[in-house]
Amino acid sequence: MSEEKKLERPHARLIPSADFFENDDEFLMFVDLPGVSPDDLELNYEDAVLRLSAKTERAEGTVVFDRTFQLPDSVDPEALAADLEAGVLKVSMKKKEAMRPRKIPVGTPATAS
Amino acid sequence: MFALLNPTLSHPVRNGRRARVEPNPLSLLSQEMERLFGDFNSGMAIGNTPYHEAVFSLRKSEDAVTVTAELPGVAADDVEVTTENGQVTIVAKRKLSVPDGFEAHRTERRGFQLSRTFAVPRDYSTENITAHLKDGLFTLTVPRGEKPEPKKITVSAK
Repeated sequence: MSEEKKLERPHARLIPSADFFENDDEFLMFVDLPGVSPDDLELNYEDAVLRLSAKTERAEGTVVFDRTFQLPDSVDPEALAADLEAGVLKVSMKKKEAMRPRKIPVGTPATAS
Repeated sequence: MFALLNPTLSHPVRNGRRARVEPNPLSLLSQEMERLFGDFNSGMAIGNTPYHEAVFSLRKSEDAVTVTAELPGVAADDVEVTTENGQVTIVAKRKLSVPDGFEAHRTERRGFQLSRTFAVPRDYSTENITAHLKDGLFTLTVPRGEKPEPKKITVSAK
């Protein structure tokens, strides 16, 4: 590729938009990453921080998506799951067992017989 | 609950998109194409998403006119391409909702319903248009048509 051609191609760095949802058991995150295939995407977790970076080549140049998310402490790092479909990343983050809401059974004092 | 580490990113997508759009890609195109597609900035303001998905770009080369659009999460069935009178119309929609049983903390992504029409320039053929959607990126290719052979018209005398 000639130098001239390279100059025509702006290198774009984008912060992708994301949605976050929560229920009792888990958090769900969706991130728009148009044009990104699973091979282009890197997800790293460290110390409750999720870092997403993706690099993809388009006709108009190289596009880089980059964003860092601070995850809630209740996320179980052992149970992070991600999949990418049609340019949308879905990350499901289970809550640590101990952090999930639960019902405490109420008993009656054992009656002496 | 969720926080961005970088406090300057409170309008994250806007910032990101701006950085990309400022070197206006249309300025690289011929004036003709700019006129055909020139309203795309104002047209982008669908709902609250002046900067977001469905950013269209259009480029013309010797071989083809190529239109690309960011359509993450859009199924091929939800994109419709039609041609009529030398014009190509692209219609696409995305509907988003909160997953059942979940509560929303942050919703930056937007649904959209959009329609774009552009005129195919002379010498490009609407006959062999191809369109595909991969990883949420839509690409439409209008190949250059056969150049019409120069023809001589006989002038008849009355």
